[in-house]
This record gives sequence, structure tokens and C-alpha cells, in this order.
Amino acid sequence: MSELAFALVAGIGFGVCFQKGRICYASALSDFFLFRSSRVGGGILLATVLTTLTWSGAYLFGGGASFWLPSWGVYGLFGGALFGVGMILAGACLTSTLWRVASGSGQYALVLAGGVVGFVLTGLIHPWLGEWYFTPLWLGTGTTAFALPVSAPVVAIAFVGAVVLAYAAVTGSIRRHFEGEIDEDESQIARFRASIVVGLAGLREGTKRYVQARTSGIDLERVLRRPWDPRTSGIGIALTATVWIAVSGVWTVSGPLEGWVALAFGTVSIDVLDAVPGLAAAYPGGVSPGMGVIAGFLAGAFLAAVTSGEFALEAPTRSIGVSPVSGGVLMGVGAKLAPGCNVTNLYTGVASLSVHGIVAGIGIVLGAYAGTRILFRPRK
Amino acid sequence: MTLRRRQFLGVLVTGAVGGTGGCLDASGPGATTEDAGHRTTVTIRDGTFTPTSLEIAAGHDVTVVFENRDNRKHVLRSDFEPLDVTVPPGETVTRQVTVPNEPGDYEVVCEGGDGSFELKSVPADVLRGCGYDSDE
Repeated sequence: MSELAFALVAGIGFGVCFQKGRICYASALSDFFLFRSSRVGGGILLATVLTTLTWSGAYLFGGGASFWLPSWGVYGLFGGALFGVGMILAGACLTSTLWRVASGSGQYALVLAGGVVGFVLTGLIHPWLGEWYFTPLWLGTGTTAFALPVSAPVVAIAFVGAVVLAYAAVTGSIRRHFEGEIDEDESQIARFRASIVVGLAGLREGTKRYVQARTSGIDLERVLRRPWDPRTSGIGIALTATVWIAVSGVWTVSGPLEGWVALAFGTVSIDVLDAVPGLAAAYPGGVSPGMGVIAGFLAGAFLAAVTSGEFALEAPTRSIGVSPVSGGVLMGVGAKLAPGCNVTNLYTGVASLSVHGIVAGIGIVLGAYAGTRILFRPRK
Repeated sequence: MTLRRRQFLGVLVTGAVGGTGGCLDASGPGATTEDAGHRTTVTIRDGTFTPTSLEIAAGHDVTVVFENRDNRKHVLRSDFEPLDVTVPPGETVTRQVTVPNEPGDYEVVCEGGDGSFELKSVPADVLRGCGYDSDE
């Protein structure tokens, strides 16, 4: 099977998992900031830590060369923050925009169109970005924590342990808060320790229930028709990403998506392509494996929507205003200035423990936080 | 299928930029000196360099052909690596130059108060974005 055929299959895997699990980084972050809900975020975290574990093995066996480890700098924070604000404004991250478009949504087609406009806008200033933007904000050459002088799987296990403890501390604290268990006289350390204990107990209990529900028989019709638990999608995403790194490399979205835009411009006319230097630089000359994954993603999300009975062509309504387009534009611009989108940085970047991915991921989370606070301010 | 040792960033960027010979851009008068072999020609005439600057992917090597069209020798030195090139009158000298990893402007000057030209080390890996596999 050719790499492009593998790319389509991997893309279908990603698309099905994202659509069935309703995986959306924008809603995961805004739900957490507004309601302290970690349902979708838990699935995303599970996908990320599982991927870190498998990719540490890939790194150990020489797969590090296929990691995306660009130089890092303040541009990651800035571009990431723009992207984060954009996805909250749009109501979807770049990948959930894609699966929603494949499910027939006209509103999210506007978000995607906005993203294309963002690519074009940054493409127009491409000749100056290197000298006037990336160079002054540059801080260091690209690297990963897997390159530390200890075995990559040991680094991965330490990272996963830290994430599990942090997750337990946060969810345990929320649970104690809602259940009124917090004693005002508790010291900070005692409160932190109690939160971890409660959080770990909740995590253990939730995992037990999850496993029991899936070992008591699988109803295929239900699997096809009903949405999936985000944790199931998280496992599916991690498995697909593991296969994909063995075949080709890490999964990125905004770059290959820009490749499609550049290919479309070039197909229309080389003059049109040359008018946007950034797109001319990104022009792939054909369908690359990364672009194949995007095509597969759309196909997978479409199939999942159809089998779930959720596919419906819906035109955007005027009441939604300009938010989808402006959010999409911010995502497109942010994805070029970071560079990278939610998948490239918060999933692939963090899972590969890339310094750039972590910095840009922090930028996305901060932007999403600011966007949520600005857009969802309680009315006085 | 086994793990493919695909392009590490530098190689990717080299590939990405390869179409322009490792140089992202040459600016200044007559700045069309790149070719596909990571070579670029810098001409010195009346003590003036053409082009006056070159944009090159940070951390990469570029082969520079110094072409002296004057009737006196030029001695060139850089502020970023031990470059010490003497170009006799009417001759050319070729040197491989490693562009620093840290982006910024680096100068190659001609001793004796003649002109200079600038190597602009650009973080091409981020400039290129994450669509690197399109260059395979």
C-alpha cells in the first residue's frame, strides 16, 4: 500500500474518532473554564498521554527524525494565543471545524473559509515574517524532552505521571468544592494532598466503570449510531497516531490544510498562486501524505456522521453574525504565526514533548481562556 | 512498513528551501545569485558587494562563491565564524559558510574599509510552518 493510501486510512481513523467522540479543543477548554467539565478534555488528555508513551518508543527506535521540532520562541505564545481566541470565537477548533463541515454544517464551512482567508493574509506578508517577526521572537532551536540524557520511555512515564497527578489534583479539587468537603482551615498542602487523593479515587472509579461497560458486550448498532465516550475516541486517536508515525510521521493539520489551499490556488493559476508568496512557498506540487490524512479525515467524519444519522446539510443563519468567519480568520493567522494549530501543538507537539509544541500549546490555552472570559462574561 | 527516517527539521527546511538553493532570498542590487546546489555568488566590484544581503535558513551551510572584479585583492572576514578569505584580483574563491543557528544579521566585511554584505539567518523551520511533508 502506498504512503498516500495509508494516509487516507489514517485520516479516516482520525476523522471517525473525532466525529464520534465530538472531540473539539475549543469546547473542551471553554467547558472547563466555564463549568469545570473535563469530559471532552479527559478524552483529549488520554489521547495525548497514550501517544506520548507510544511515541517515546518510536523515538527510542529512531523515529525522532519524523517528529516536528521547530525552533521555539515568543511567537509560539503569541500565535497560539491568537489561535486560541479564534477557536473560541468560531466555536470550534480547526479539526472540529473539519468534522463539522463533513457533517454538513454550513456555519462551520464559514469558519473554514475564514481560516483560508487567514492563510492568505499571512501569506501576503510572508516575505517579511522571517526577518521582522520570527527572528526577533526566536529563543532557541527545536528540541524535545525525549532528547534528555535518560531513556525516552522513562521521560514519557514521568510526564504521564505528572499529568495524571495534575489531572487528579484539579478534578479532585473541583469535586471537593462541589461536595462541600473543603475545610477553610486546611493548609494549602493538606488541601492539595486531599484533592489528589479524591481525584485519583475518582479516576480509578471512572476507569473501572468504563472498562466494565466495555467488557460486558459490545452492541455494534449502538457503536455505529450513538456518540462515543471521548475516552474511546482518545484511545482510537492514539492508536491511529501510533500507526501513522510508524508509516510516515507525526500528525499535523494546519500545514497540510494550507497545502490544499496552495494546491487549489496553483490549480486555478500560477499567477494567482504567486500573488500570495506564503502560499507559493507552501505549494506542494501534488497531494502529500499529510494532505492525504486531511482528505481521509473529512471522509471518515462524513462516514461517521452518515452512519450515526447525523449528516444534514445546514445553511448558516444570519443570526450567527460574523463570529464564524472572524474566528476562522484568527485561527488561520494564528496557525501561521505560532506556527501550528490545536492538533499540531496541543496534541502532536505536547505528545512529542516538543518545546515549541508546549510553548505554543500554552499560548492556545491562554488565548482560549481569554476568549472564554471575554465572550462569556456574565451579564450584570 | 518500517519507521522512516524522514527529514529532521534542518533537512526538511533545506529541502523546503532547496528550490532556492538554501537561500530564502537575496536582496539588494542584482540579487539573483542562488542556484539549486546551495551555492550563491557574491560579486565585489569597486569594493561594493552584490547582492548586499542574503537570507539563509538558520543553521544551514551555504557555498558562497566570492567573485572579485576589482584589480586589487580583497580580504574578507566575518563576525560569526572564522572566515578569512583572500580573493585575488579578477579571481573567484569558493567557501562553505555555516549560518549560525541563532537567527539574526551577520556581517561579512572587507578589510581596508571597503564594503560588506549581510547574511540574514532566518528561522525557516517556523516560517515554513508544519506542512513540511509536502516537500517530499
